[in-house]
Amino acid sequence: MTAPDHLDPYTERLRLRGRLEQPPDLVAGLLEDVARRCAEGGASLIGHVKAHARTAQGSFHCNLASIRSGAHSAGPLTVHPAPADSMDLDLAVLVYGLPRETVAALVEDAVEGLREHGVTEWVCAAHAPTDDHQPQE
Amino acid sequence: MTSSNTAEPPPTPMRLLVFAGFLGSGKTSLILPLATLLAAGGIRTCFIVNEVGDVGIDQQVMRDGGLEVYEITAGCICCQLTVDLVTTLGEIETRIHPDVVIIEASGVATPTGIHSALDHYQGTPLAAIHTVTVVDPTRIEALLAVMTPLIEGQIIGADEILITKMDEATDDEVALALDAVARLHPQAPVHTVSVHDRAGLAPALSALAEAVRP
Repeated sequence: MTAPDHLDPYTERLRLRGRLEQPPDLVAGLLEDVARRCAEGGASLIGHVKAHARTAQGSFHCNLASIRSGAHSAGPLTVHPAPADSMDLDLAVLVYGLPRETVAALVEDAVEGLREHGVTEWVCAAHAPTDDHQPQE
Repeated sequence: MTSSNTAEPPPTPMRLLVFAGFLGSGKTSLILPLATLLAAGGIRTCFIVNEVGDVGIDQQVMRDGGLEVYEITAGCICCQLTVDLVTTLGEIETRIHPDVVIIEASGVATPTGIHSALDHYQGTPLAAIHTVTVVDPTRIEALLAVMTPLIEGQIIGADEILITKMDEATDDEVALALDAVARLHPQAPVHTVSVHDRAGLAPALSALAEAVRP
C-alpha cells in the first residue's frame, strides 16, 4: 500500500428542518452515507467523520471511524430520543485523498438524501436565520 | 520587612496529560470518564482540544459533559499551531491555574511535535508532561501500512498506550496492535479498554490519573 494523499479537512454548519423522528438515527445514517460516498468517490482513507447536533430537546454527537464499524451516536438526546422539527448540525469530514470541494459536493448529495427521512429543508447555518437551540431543562 | 511568614505559597506547577492517537481512535471518549474521575478526586482540570477542521466537534462534546474547554482549530498544534498551544496554556495558567491540563491533540499530531512546541512555553515550568497514545486496533493494520511514520511516531512518543475498542476488534486485530506496540515501544505500559462496555476502563483511567496526580 502507498501513503494516502493529504488530508483536506471539510467542516460545515447545517440547519435541517422537517419532521425529524429520530435525530440520532438520522445523523448516524447521514455519516454512514457520507463515508460511503467518500470511499466510492476515491478517498484513500477514512479518517474520521463526526457531528455534533442540537435540537430544542437536547444535544448529541455521532462519529464514524470506519465504514465497517459504522456510526455511533451518544449524548443526552440519545438517552431519551425525541422528535424535532429543526436541528443544527456541525459536521466534520476528515478523509484522505479528496479535496474539500469534492467532499462538499458529496455531503450535499448525502444531505439531499435526507429528504427521504423527513427533512424538508436544509441550509448551511452561515446562511440561516438566528434560531439558537437551547436544550430544555 | 519580609512577609515570608504570611505570603501565599506559590501555586503548584501544572501537570500536563497529552492524549495522542489517530483520527477517530477514541480520545474524546476516554477523556470524558477520566474527567469525571479526576473531578471526584478533587483534581482541578482544564482541557485544550485541538482539531484540524475549522469547526470543532470534540470541544462541543466535552462542553456537553460540563468540562471547561479551550479549543484550537483549523490546524495541528504539533506543527502549524505551536504558538496557539503555548499561548493557550499561558492563558490557562494565568486565569485558572488548574492542577492538570489535559490536551487532546489532533489525530495527526505526534507526541514529539507537541513536546517540541511545549519547549517554548514561557510560564511556570510544568511539573510533568505525561503522554498517552490511543491505538485503534480495528484499523491498526491499514494505518501502519499507509500512515507509517505518523502511527509509529505516535506509539514511540508515548509514555503509556491505550488500545481501545476491545468490544469491536477481533482477536487478530488486538494481537497485531499489541505486537506493534511491543515492537516499537516495548517499555510502554499498555492497557486494553472498551469505553462501550467499560471493560478494562477503570484501571486504565486510574493509571492515568495517578500519573498526573499533584
